[in-house]
Amino acid sequence: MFDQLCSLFRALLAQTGAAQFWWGNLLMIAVGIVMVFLAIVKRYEPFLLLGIGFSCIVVNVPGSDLVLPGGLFHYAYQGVSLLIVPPLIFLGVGAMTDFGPMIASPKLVLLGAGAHLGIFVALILAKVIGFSLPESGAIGLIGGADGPMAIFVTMKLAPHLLPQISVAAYSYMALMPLIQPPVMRLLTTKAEREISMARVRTVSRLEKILFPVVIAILVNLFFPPVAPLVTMLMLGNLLREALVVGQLAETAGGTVLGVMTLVLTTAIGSTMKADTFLTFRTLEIVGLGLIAFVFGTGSGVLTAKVMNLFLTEKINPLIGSAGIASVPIAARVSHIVAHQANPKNYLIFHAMGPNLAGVFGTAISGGILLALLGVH
Amino acid sequence: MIGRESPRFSSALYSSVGDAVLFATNPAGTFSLSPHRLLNLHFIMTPIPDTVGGAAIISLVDFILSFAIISGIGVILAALPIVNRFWNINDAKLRNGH
Repeated sequence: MFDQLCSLFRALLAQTGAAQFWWGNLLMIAVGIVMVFLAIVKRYEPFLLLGIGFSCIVVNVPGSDLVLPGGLFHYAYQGVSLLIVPPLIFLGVGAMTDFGPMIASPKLVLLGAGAHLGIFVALILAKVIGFSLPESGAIGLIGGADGPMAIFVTMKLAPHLLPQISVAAYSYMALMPLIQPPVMRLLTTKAEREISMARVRTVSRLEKILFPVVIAILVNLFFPPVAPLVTMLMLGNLLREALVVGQLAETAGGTVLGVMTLVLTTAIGSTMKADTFLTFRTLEIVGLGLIAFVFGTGSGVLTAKVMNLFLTEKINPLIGSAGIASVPIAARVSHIVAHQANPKNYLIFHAMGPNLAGVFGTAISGGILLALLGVH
Repeated sequence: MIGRESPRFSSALYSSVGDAVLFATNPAGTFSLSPHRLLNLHFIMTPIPDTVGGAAIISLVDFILSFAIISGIGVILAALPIVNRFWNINDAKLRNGH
């Protein structure tokens, strides 16, 4: 009788998630808890890390139905894998973004290209250590520091690497205030960090309305692979700048962006299952992502220093690191480091120029990459 | 296989500059004319090898092209203020209705 009861309880236990729990689940739950801690206590990109961390915890509890077909996280992932969520996020981003700083300082857009050297360093290194060319391209795009673009390109080039690449991209974006400053200080002198920049011109309403229309035409004409993302970015921006559809702009930049961010972060976190995530490849991708960010930061600063050789009115090279597309984090980091060097220096407006150009830089790099690799 | 075909190339606009760019990047490419489209590109792209050398080629081409294209965007942005000579939009009128 006792033996029968024991075997019955053992059979019941075998059907629960607890019976399938292994140390990998525990480790990933700890990773999720760290993300939630960083989001709440340290306030590192809480909009991203909170959702990713929580769904990482839940998905590593065996037996959870949320990630199975029919589960909520499963459908959230479908929204990402079918490339529905990233363009809608860009719609919201466009509705919240003022491209005035970029329009006002055309020469600073070069920093949006210069800061993307990190993409190609990571691409080549990924190939050296054994990834295929499409996989290397997807890994390299981490260096663009543009989450939706990284996801978009990864789904086209190497969808099986989406968990690692999206986690690396969003985690490093959140950790940018830690990663960038040492590189920026290493490559600049104190005098360079103290450079003040003159006030830029005011951009007219007409320019701000024409900008998204012109860019949408150019991108659809020359970069069809990445047109969905940039077109939605420009649509959102047009809604904002037209001033006649305030409610639509608010909805796009508020509710839509919030909902899509929730869906995206839960989808990304739900891919962090221990059995697929805890591999040596994940460590390699995370390491390559860090290299991409470091080289991107450095190349942006160096591009600014090269530009200064030809400019009479010098630019503060710290804004070069803002050419990495993480808006507005990278611009904020540039401003803070410059402010620490010279408390009278307020570079946030200037840094937003290359920061916004970086979004286009990543889109262009990604579009050319997709075209060169023959992917539509 | 890494590489693809594009539709046919016809416009005289590309006959010099376009040919030079396309041939330089696609030495094995061929061209033919079509009356149906204004700009119609047809070439067989040499597949990029899935090697470190291929990665280096892609990186170099992508980096240079990115710079070139971003510079073009910069030129367009530098030219944008010209439109202010032809029209001025009043923010208050937009917000409050015409």
